[in-house]
Amino acid sequence: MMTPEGATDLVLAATCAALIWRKHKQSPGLAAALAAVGLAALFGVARFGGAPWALGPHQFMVLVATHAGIPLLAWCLRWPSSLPSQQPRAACLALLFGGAGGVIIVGLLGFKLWSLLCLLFAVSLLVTTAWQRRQLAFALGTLLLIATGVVQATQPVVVGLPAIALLHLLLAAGVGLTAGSATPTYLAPSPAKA
Amino acid sequence: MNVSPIALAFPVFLLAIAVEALYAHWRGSRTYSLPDALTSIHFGYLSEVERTLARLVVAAIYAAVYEQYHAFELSASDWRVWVGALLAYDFCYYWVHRFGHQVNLVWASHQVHHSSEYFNLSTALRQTATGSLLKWPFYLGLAVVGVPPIVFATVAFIDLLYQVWVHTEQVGRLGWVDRVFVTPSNHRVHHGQNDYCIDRNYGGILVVWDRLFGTFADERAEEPVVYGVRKRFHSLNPVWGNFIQYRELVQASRAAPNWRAALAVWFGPPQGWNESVPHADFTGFQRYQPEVPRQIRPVILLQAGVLMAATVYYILMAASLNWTGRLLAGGFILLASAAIGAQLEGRWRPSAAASAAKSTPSPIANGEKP
Repeated sequence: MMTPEGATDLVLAATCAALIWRKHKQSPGLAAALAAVGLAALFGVARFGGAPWALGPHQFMVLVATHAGIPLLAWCLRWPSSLPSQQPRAACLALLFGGAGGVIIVGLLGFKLWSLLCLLFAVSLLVTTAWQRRQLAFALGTLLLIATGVVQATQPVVVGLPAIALLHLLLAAGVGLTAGSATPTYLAPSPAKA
Repeated sequence: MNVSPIALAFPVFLLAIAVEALYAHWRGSRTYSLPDALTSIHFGYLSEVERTLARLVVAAIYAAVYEQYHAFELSASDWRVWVGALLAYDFCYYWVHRFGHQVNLVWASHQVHHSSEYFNLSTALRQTATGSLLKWPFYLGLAVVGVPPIVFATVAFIDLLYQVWVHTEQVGRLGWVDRVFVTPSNHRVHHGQNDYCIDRNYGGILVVWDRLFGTFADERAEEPVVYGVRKRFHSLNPVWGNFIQYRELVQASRAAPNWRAALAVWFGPPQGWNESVPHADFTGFQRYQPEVPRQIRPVILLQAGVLMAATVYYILMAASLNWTGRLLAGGFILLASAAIGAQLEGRWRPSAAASAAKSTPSPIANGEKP
């Protein structure tokens, strides 16, 4: 039996998969960041679909996505010609060490402030990018991602939708609008780099 | 008592090195150089000392991640779990090793193992003393799947132990085995600095990972492997050897135009982000081998013997020591191995030995190139 949390995690996973399909050639780093978020969502589908084994992997991947996936996504959108955006190796390192750092600092040591700092870093990159690009879809996506943080902090129930399900939907829409609105030209490496 | 299995295996390693050296001598093959082999063993001591300090931290992280996030309750009494864990560990090892060669930060640590220009069983002991804290994130996936810490630690040891025997020139090609398992033949390629050897054959037990991910190279009979690293080390000091590459990275990142470029230095490949490995010609290549005067060899061997006894004793006792004790003992081993390295290089010699050495000046003392 699919719960609202599971169904919305499926939406998030599908959004990430579609974006990976569309963007992996233009920005391998963006694809890697989306893969981290998408994998967390896939484990979420299993977890909220009634598979108890998926609880640990879901929590683990949420930590990786929060502390490495989302910041990497914001980085790749802010600096599309940078090494983490264009070099799969750099992107994997960012995910590996950023994720492992998040797992230790927040998951094992309990310093939740680190999560806030990572998300603030990502939001600041997205806001400056939105300001620079002045593109409605990107700005709206950034606002939705900020709203995700608010939902996480306040845990509201909106029109009968549990907070976690709302969070998944906002995240899917936010990621879809920010990463999806990045055009191939914008994401392509600069001539100097190429 | 929580004893490092490496400490227990150490006498076996030494015996194997002695047997290989004798066999190589009997065959007339110049596989060994005493200063190089001693240095390799001393690198091994420092690596073990670091393990006694860092292993607890790394083991604690793995165990905590396993406790909190594991998906399945895999039983340590099921043989399939052991086989699966060994395969999974070997797969992760392939990627750790590959990153170890292709990311400056990790290469700075791993280049120690490749710094010898000889290739023999002592090279297997030439391990880094700065690596433990860089590799563990690669293995967290095993904890999340549910590989119990005891199984993980054991398969890690098996993987490490397997890799000892492949460091030899005394075993030739082994037919189909060379294409499935890591063997002396394909591992010789891994330690080579010839063009065709660079960034090849990363596997730990299975070389099929290399075949799968396009990094396999077969040994070429017509092109003898030249061992070592292209930025030649030219030192027998294991302390210096552990930090030399980090110093270069610090210098390169300080020279970078901005902070992002500085970061790219640490995480880039040794040849640069968008560069391919340059061609190198090894015609007339001479291995680094400073002359050690005959008179001081017994003195150095005596010191090496004392250091060996002290190190094995320390590793056996490390679990019962507090952090101060560990740091003091580790500091002693570090200084002693650096002192022996300096004597082997001819940079520093104790007065008694120096007076004996006066009668036969070494080429280094005369300012000649080794």
